Amino acid sequence: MRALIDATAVRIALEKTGQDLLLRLWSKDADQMLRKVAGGLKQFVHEYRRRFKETPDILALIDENTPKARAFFHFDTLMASCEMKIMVWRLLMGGEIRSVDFRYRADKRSSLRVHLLSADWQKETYESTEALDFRVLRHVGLAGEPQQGRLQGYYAF
Amino acid sequence: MLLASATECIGDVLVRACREFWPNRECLFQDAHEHVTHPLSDSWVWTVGVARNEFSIYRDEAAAASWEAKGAVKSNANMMIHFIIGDPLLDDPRVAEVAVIFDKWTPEIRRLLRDLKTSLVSTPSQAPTAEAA
Repeated sequence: MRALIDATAVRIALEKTGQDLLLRLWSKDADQMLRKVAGGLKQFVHEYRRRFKETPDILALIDENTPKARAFFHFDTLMASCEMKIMVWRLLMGGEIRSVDFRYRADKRSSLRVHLLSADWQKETYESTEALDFRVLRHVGLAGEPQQGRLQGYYAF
Repeated sequence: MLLASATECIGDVLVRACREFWPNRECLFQDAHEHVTHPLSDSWVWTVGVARNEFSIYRDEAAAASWEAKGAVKSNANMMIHFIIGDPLLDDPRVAEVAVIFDKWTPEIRRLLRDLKTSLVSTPSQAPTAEAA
């Protein structure tokens, strides 16, 4: 049976993954922010299940693979849109980045489009124009030869 | 022997490198202490499997079957790569050693090792850059 995603579960997840500094920074807004984050995570699980017919067990990941949970429960991921949370989860589950189109202009509408090949060889595209979503790019690793590198994976700091 | 950031999911980097090493192949994951193999499309590999400290990646089903039936023979050389991820070092717990075990040196294996060195120091976490002896 899967654990319930609520403010308490998110608080515990942040503590277990070493992200509890957020609780200090949120200060008296912590309870409200925890509820907001829990709502976003529930929406993510619901949408992921609708698309892929499987339920991402984000709370189980904390014990199964703490480094990956630390990346998923990082502030940048938690604040990202549902679409980008799905992209991040697909990366954590073995997806490969095939291309990234990122168009940025200061104080203008910017855009991010990520093309993935999932672990089961499906081509997927994720798009966003929300500035908070652009921060997920900071977590992507690099592999391969320096001149022909590949973006890969999703990691915490 | 390679060095990696002990706080990162090292297994994830290793499995991805193998997938690049054998492009367009259905690689299989096998924990060192289990008999069963898992295709990389199995999400178990990316949550539980890559968190294990010792595992093998087979090029494909045929390679796994060959290893199962014959063990290490000339015909299946370098079709399986074995990894052992050490505990954090006593003198610097931020760092772990990674042993990469294969059958023979080839240009492809050298490229894989170069790829791994890049990957293991290019995760966004603060990672070491040195190579062990």
